Amino acid sequence: MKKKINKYDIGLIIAIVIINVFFIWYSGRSAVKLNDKVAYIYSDNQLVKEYVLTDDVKDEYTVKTETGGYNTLHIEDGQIWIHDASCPDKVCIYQGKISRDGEIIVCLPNRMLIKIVDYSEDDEVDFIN
Amino acid sequence: MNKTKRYIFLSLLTAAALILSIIESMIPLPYIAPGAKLGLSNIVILSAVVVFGLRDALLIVILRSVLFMMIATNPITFIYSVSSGIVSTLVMYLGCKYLSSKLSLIGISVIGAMAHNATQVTVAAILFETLKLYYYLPILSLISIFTGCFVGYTSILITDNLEKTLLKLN
Repeated sequence: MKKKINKYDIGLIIAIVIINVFFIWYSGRSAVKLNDKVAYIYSDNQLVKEYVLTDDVKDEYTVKTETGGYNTLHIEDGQIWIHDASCPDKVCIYQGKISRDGEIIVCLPNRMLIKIVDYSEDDEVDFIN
Repeated sequence: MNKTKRYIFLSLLTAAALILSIIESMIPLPYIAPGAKLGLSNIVILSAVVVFGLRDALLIVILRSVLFMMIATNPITFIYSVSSGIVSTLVMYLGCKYLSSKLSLIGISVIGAMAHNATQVTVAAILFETLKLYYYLPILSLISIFTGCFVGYTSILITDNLEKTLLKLN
């Protein structure tokens, strides 16, 4: 048994530091953070897409159904809205822009649902220290 | 060493680990991440792995956790401490067996601390049924490098003295 710290120890520690810093950096840019706002998009009761709603996300996405219907959503400035849809009544478009926790957009003809969950507002994880 | 002497040493080490756990729970720490703590009782456990072997170290871990639950905490914390204690003891034993030609006790202690964190987060993820808790693992691992180095360095000093004492006893 080695009695003093040696180069292998230092190498091990540096390797662990690099791996962990990489994971922190990686989870910071891609994964859902605990204080993030997330939009979940469901089609026919199945989760098809999720967006982390930050100010710099800008995207367009079209949800298609098996019967040929579609809803085109637009995400910008932390808001999400539908700007085109195949349904006759366009209720989903009139529901406007949503950005806050618990808000939803529903399209009944195309069986599509968008809901927003804000992880910074509800503390769903309680820790016992 | 005869049986009685061994039992006395094991109970002394268990008492030391228990006292270190209690003292540790009294030290206020800045809140960095849930579950971050010093792990002082790992000093005793790592020394026991080196000097007495795996079986006795596991015995100390389990006894320490049971007694600590009865004195200071609750059964939920017991699940965390006993599972992560057992896994980190196994990992440190394997480290002592196969890596001791390269690593000193500091490296082995850091590996044990990693295993401790990973088990604790895994148990929490199972209990809370959410994988999001793994978000804390890199932060916890970074903190535990410092405490792991400290534990390893202390264990080097302790094992030195403990082995000399045991030689005198025989």
